[in-house]
Amino acid sequence: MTVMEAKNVSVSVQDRSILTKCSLTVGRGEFIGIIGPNGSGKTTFLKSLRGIQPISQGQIFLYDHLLTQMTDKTIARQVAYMQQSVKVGFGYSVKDIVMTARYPYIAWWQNSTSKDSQIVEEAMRYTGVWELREKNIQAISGGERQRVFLAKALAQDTDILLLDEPTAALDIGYADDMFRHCQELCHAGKTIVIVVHDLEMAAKFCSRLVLFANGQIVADGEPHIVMNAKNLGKAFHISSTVYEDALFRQRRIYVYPYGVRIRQSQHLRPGVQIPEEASTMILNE
Amino acid sequence: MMHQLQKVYGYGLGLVIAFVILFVVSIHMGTITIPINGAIDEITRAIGFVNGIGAPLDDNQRAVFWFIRLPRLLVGVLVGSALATAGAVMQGVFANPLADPGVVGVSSGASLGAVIAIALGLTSVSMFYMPLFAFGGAFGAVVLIVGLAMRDNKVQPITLLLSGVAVSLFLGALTSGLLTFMNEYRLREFLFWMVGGLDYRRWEHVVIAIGPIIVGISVLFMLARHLNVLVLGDVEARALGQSVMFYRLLFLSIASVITATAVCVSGFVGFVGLVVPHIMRILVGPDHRSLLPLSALAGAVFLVFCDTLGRVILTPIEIRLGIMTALVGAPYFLFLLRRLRAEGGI
Repeated sequence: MTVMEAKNVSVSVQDRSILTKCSLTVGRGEFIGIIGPNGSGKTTFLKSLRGIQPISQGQIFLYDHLLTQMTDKTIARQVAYMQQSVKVGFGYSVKDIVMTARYPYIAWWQNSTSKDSQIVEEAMRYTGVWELREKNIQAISGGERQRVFLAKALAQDTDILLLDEPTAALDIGYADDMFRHCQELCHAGKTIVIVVHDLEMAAKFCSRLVLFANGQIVADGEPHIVMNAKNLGKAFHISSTVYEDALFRQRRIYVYPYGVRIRQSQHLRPGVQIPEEASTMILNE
Repeated sequence: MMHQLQKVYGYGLGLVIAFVILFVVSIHMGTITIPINGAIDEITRAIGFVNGIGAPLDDNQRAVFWFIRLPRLLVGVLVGSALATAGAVMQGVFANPLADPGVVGVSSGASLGAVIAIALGLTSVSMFYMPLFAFGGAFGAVVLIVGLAMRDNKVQPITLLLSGVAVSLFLGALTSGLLTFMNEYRLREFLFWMVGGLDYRRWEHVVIAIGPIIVGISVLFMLARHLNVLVLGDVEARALGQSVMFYRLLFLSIASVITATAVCVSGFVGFVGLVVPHIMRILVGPDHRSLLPLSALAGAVFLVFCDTLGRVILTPIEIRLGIMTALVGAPYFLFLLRRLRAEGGI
């Protein structure tokens, strides 16, 4: 079942084209990783999906409704958006911050109820930040902070979560936790679109990858299809070998030094499996 | 959570007690002393006890009580709570602890309005012209600044801040320009207005101020929750479904209106809007649902305190309120700046 669909979405800001004709269909329960180099339009695309970034062409549908015809509040009850980092100007308590997630459910003259508190507590317990509830948001560590904002996204109680690099600047343990949480949520029926910088992490956890380069989608599909040396070469301008590690059967990337000509036979130990695309890439070099 | 609530109620209660004590002291002290039981007698008579409770005042004292001390105190309470609440709201709207209604031109606009009223000689015609012109000037300046900062129907706080500085300087130049053409008597009148004070405040001033300030503050209290979301920034607030522009402009206009009203009955009283919300934020945290009411209460207490201090410290000479608040407020403000720097803030 399709929950969101972007059709030929283009975005340009002051005559500078940021996205060109990007189309994506998001199915229920998918865990989609958006990958690509810096400045390739990943964040802009995610913002367009939420309707925060005005699009210059194309259409975005949320459950068959045109996003531009829905109010921010209606969208906010179905889609949660987590920014890469939020600068909180004042020392709110962690719980106050998570509590703001209930905003779309409360009429303008009302205040939060005990039901809202309960949902907030559940979300905070899930990401393991309930113990921090009285703490000042400005005083906690980066890892704790990201889990607080994930709890906030969850407390918004939406089917769809759009996460913009939630693992940026996180230690490997926290990052792994974050992805496991997301994977678990998708198994439970939520749909997650996540911008990821760490390609190996993306390949390990996401059910589908979408590769951006120069404001366009250059590859879209299951991780083993998208993640190959040819695609990475196209997007990141690198020569690399994508291989499966022998121990965990996970995709790994080895990037060769810039400008170095490589021959497959010289550099790889016997027993390392190289995908076909990778070898052609290497040989073409 | 319980802990936080206890804190809020604790400080609230403390401020109410401080307020009651100050109320009594402020009524009691001055060139003509009014016995406390006399004041109680007057008040109980006024609210329907035929014989009153306490000892009756003589005619002189009664006149001072009803026509000097009480209106002065009430104007002080209204102005203090208006300035402090508006300050807290502006700091929230700009997500900046150093903002106050001055940044959107309320004070520079009001000054220009006042100086025009004086230059035209209207102040001797009716006491209402000056407040009217000050209010008009303040409102005009805010509209001008917001209008200049608006682009594609959006107002970014930083653009607003910059256009506010530019327009304020421009209006300041006009004010100074007009002042250079004025005679000494009128200059003095303007100076008295610039250094705000509560002397000679009458019931008329209470009547002017009470409507806009009470209504404005109540609406702000009601909408405080929205400010907590607005503080998180445009993207975050929109992602939560808030109409960012609507609330930003609403908060700006209400804060401007109550500040302009306060300025037009008391003249320019600085530092209340900056300092009071700050202290309260440190004490009870930044949640605007408790911050706004407590700031209002603390603003009233601070203003009445400064006014009373200014009246009694060198009796019979009076130190004007605008000077007292700055004398008490400025050192604290500097301390705050140093502390912010130490914390790695601004």
